[in-house]
Amino acid sequence: MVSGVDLVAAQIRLALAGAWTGFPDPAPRGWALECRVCAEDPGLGFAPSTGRILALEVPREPWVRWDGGYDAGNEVTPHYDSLLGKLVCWGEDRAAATERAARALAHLVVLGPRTNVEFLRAVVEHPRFREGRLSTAFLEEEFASSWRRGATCDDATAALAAGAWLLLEGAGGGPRGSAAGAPSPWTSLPGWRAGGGHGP
Amino acid sequence: VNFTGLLREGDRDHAVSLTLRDGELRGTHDGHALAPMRAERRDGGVLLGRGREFARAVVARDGERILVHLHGRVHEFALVDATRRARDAGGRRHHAGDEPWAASPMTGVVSSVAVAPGDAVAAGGTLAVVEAMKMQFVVRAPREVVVKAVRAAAGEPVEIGAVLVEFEEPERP
Repeated sequence: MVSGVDLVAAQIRLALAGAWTGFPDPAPRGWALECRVCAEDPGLGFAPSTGRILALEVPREPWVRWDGGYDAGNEVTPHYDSLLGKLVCWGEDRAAATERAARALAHLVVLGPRTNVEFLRAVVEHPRFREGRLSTAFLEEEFASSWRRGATCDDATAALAAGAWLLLEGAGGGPRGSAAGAPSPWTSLPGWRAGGGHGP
Repeated sequence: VNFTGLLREGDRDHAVSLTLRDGELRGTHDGHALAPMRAERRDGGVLLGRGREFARAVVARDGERILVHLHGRVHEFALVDATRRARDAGGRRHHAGDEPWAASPMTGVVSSVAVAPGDAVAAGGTLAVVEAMKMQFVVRAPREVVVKAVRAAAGEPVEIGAVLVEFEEPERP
């Protein structure tokens, strides 16, 4: 992200041209931050979490790239490692990159297995992380080994949303999630591709 | 159309009763009347609106688990039915850490079992090791226990929540 070079496109162009010509100066510019999104339960000491991905929405905003190999409907099995995808955010400086990462993490939706998305957001929003006062002991010093976010003022709204959704599902009459005329997560997810998104 | 149910998140119960008529949602939450709001299905979830404020929640269901993504947070509700709630209230419910067994914390494969029936294990002692996604998780005794039965063997696949080791029930006073 900091070089502005699309490596895959560069490889194809190189293969076609047979010589390294016409590429931008890959001098690094700005900051990039990668958040590794994993199917792990922070509330259980980051134990792996498996199961079907019921909904997956990837942030579609400038300066954010999602490199992932899963789609809604896929099963996260215990046979591979827990990495679901990498959320890479670019900014003019570290503060801007960090701010974009926090916002992109808030927009990333993974329902099904438990994930570390909210934990990652707590990390990038932590004052010490923002100030760059980091060491290899940062996580141990600032976070419990089993991390669970506290109650939020949204808890009741979320319960109402769940109730309203169940009610609307019932009103649809069809099998759950696929009532006539209503988009289901399987069909309504915007298309995305690995390496897509917007780089500088 | 209406919905009445108990949604449990962690140890917090939400008693929700809702009625939808002409796109307007009315009802109660924990017995308190709600200001009416608009509700409609939207992209795999639901859109709630009141005045000029909107909130979009992505919702998915996995059996009795209702998952809600709202404002960057995932809420995991269990849809609790009234009969089960009554049974829980009957006193036979085991609290976390108090159960006469140790269960697998994740779906994976049993790497090793460290105990046999009759063994006395100190609190924190290793009972078994479960592995998934190249990570090993040590299942430890929640307190001082005596092993009654071992229900797992090395190399066997296990589901999350599967009982690995049973303990002798302590004498009840």
